[in-house]
Amino acid sequence: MFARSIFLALCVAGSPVLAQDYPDRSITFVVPYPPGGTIDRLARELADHLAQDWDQAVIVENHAGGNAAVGVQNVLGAEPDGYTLLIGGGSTHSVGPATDENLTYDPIADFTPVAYLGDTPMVLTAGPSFDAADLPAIVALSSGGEDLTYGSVGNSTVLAGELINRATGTKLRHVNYKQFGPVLIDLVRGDVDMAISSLSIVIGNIRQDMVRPIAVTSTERSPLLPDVPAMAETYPGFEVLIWFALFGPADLPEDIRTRLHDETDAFLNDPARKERWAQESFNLRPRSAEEFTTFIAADVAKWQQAAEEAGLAAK
Amino acid sequence: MRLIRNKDVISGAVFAIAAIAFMIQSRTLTFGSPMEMGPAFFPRVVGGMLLVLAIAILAKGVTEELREPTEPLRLHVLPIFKVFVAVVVFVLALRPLGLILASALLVAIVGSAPKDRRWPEVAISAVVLSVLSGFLFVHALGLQAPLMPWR
Amino acid sequence: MDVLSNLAYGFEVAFSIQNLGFAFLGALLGTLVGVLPGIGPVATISMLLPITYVLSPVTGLIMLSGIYYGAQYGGSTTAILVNLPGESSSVVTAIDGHQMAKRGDAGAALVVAALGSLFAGVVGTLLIAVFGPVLAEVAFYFGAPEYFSLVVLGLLGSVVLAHGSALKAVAMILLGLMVGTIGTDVNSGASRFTFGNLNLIDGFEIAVVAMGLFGISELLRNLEEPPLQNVVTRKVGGLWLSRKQFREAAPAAIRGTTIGSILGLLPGGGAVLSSFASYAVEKRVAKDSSIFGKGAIQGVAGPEAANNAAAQTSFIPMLTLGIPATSTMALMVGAMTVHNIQPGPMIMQNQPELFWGLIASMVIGNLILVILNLPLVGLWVRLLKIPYRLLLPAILLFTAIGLFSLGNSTFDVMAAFGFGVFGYVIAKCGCEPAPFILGFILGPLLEENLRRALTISQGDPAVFFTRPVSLGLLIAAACLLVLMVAPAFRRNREEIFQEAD
Repeated sequence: MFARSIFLALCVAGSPVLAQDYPDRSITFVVPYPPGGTIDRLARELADHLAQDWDQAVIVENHAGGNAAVGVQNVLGAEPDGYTLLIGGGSTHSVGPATDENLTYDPIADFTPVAYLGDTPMVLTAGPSFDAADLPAIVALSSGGEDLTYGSVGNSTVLAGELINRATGTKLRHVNYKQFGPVLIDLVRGDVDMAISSLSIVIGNIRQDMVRPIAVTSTERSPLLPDVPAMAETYPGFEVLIWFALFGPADLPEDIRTRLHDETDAFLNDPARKERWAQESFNLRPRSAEEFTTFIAADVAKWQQAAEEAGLAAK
Repeated sequence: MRLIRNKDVISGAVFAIAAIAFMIQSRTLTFGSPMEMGPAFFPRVVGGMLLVLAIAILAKGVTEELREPTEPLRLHVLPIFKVFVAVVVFVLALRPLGLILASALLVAIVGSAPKDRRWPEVAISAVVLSVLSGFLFVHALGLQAPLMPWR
Repeated sequence: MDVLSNLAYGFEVAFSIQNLGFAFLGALLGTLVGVLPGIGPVATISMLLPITYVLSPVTGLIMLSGIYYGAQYGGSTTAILVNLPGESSSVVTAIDGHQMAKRGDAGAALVVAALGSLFAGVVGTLLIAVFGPVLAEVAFYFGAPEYFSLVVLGLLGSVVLAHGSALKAVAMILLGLMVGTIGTDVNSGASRFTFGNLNLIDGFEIAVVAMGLFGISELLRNLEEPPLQNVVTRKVGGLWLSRKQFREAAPAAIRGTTIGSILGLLPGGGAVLSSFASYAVEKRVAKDSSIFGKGAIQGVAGPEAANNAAAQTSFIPMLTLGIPATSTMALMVGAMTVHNIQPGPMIMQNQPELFWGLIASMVIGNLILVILNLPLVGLWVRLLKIPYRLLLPAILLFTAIGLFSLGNSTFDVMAAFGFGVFGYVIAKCGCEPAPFILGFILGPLLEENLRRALTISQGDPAVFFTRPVSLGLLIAAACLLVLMVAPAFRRNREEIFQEAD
């Protein structure tokens, strides 16, 4: 009896921050994405939910564009006490690092994965003047020697294109853009044959019949486009997801991590919320700690390999 | 010596140095061909054009100066230095000391620069402006910056 | 007519107490944000986005638009008063607008900017209402080769921005072009001239360059030689336009509105060209072009009208096709998506109250802003009478904080200072900042579209000449070049003939 209480007392004295005390001041979410975008809104919704539940302020700090790296650095340099957390994703932890020559951190070793939030697929769309009716037709055209182009914004879509080329044997050529607006215009004009982008950015135009969806890159079909096949149906194992998750700096105490993780999972599992975000083609998807860690490792490796094969790998 | 103070010579030199610097730095990037331009193509071509113009400006400056002396460039370095110090102090003090103190420091330092400064005015405006901007930017507009040293 | 009844319906929607109130609030906030140098509408809109989620979609969008316009009006105010253009749209206004202020005509400059913008805003709104879907088609005529040719024309035409040595002006343009390449290269993903500095991955912010090159260098100049304070008090009627000024400014505003309305339809860079193009046109059609750069009222009226018209018509691709032209608009698209509204051709049929309510609120927003800003003109002019030694620290402080707020980064503040010193030195040598900014803004557009056009055509340069719109623009550019160089030849010929005599 006595020994047990001594033991407990020592445990309590030893841990730097107790889960019961956490949080006792405001938490900061560093969001390295532009304000108003999909992930920023989700982060703010989560922040509000936690703030209400725990009766502490949860502040969202945006670091958009080139400043994204600055935001990540801020989290890395912070104390692992659960008060500075990162909303990261493929761009900060798997796709981004694969092509970033200025990378200063290790996406796996320098972070504690706290909670997976969700994902959205990419979609391959075709312009109205592009004749190919579906994916097999495109594969046939490209393998037959036709020069087919696709427009896209950013590195991740180019790597996705490379993965498509690898899986299907096509030789689609990428044309880079800074914003998605001109991609749509060139697509409709027929200057580029196809486009690869996140589903959410183009779903509106798809619904207007401005562009034609060919395939989605998730393993299952998107509920918003039930008639559009998933790449994985013809090419098993093909999966490209734009995913986001909550991270903390390395060595985050386990009890704080668990608290954050469980609270976030409760947030993600709310059916009304799930439905609402699914309407925006974003799938809220809680993952357990082991699932998440395995997923990250696999994703990092996948994109590293894709980057090397595309010649875009960071030297 | 006059030549070096000539305005055209100086500006020509600035352009030339910038052009050369960009062109040298672009060596690390691929040039490509006119048909398939690499990231270095545009900077190097533009740099080349700028270099040509820079030399033309330099030449014009030299010939004019030799023909008849022009008014040399006179820089007032002290004001520049004071503004520089004010900005640097502000930037360094912002996070550790908070917005209000950093602003007060900036106002105090730069307020001493004008020739007709009066110290009581500088002191008052330091206090007023720093508190005002603290309220305006952080409270009203939600700027993410610490207000006081202990936060 | 159908449009009139729709407009009436829209006004009905917009005139609710709630909508009017939020329109006013948005306009007020936007003006405040625009006046404070550095803090732009993007930051404000993103901070307020969560509020708009709880409002009804119409009200939310009305407030956001209010902020958007307010920032434009406010930005012109600082550009004119203290030479601190925070956005590319106010850079051109600063050139002659600030000169007018230095001459004691700040009131007239501010008034003409406000009225010109109002006119352009109303015309732009009418265009959206009546011709929206038709005008949207214009955007589809412009692919990469066309944009390239357009920018070539724009750059060539805007060489007139300089009023001094043409040689130095072109050199500044080229230097600005090169500084514009700093950052990540769009076409290849490589980072250029960043030296591993994280802050430079996206290149310099336009606000950093503009405020440093215009505002801070002016500040340094003024420390040497304080501006004459008594000049400001000289003009008694300085708070309104004289008849002469109105007669000069009105045609410029009309021309600017036309230019801006067309260019605003092009997502991907059209709006940014509008104020530069308007200035170039004004300088060319003016009877006496030497007044430009010293405070020509047309140099304020035209560009202000142009960029407000462009700001309006850039809503067209967004509303009718779902293509956002700027990041501000992408935020608005986000706000609409939250309420499950898909911008696109369906919007006019499915959510007429949203579309027409928004249109009506654009007119109302512009009106509110003029009503807000005109009385403020008196306040601003009085502010200028404060001894410069007291104004100076305030200007520097607000600039520093504003720049810091752009990205929570102290790098931006130091970089602007660097540009300020550069601007100060180079200005003393007879070079001007405006061409540099022109090159900085347009250079990346030029390169991006040139390379993209060649990528799409698989390296075939004929694409610029085989496409009708591109060919037409290039021919216009060539004519412009001939027009610019020809007078020099004529003068030489005259000299030769005179000597021969």
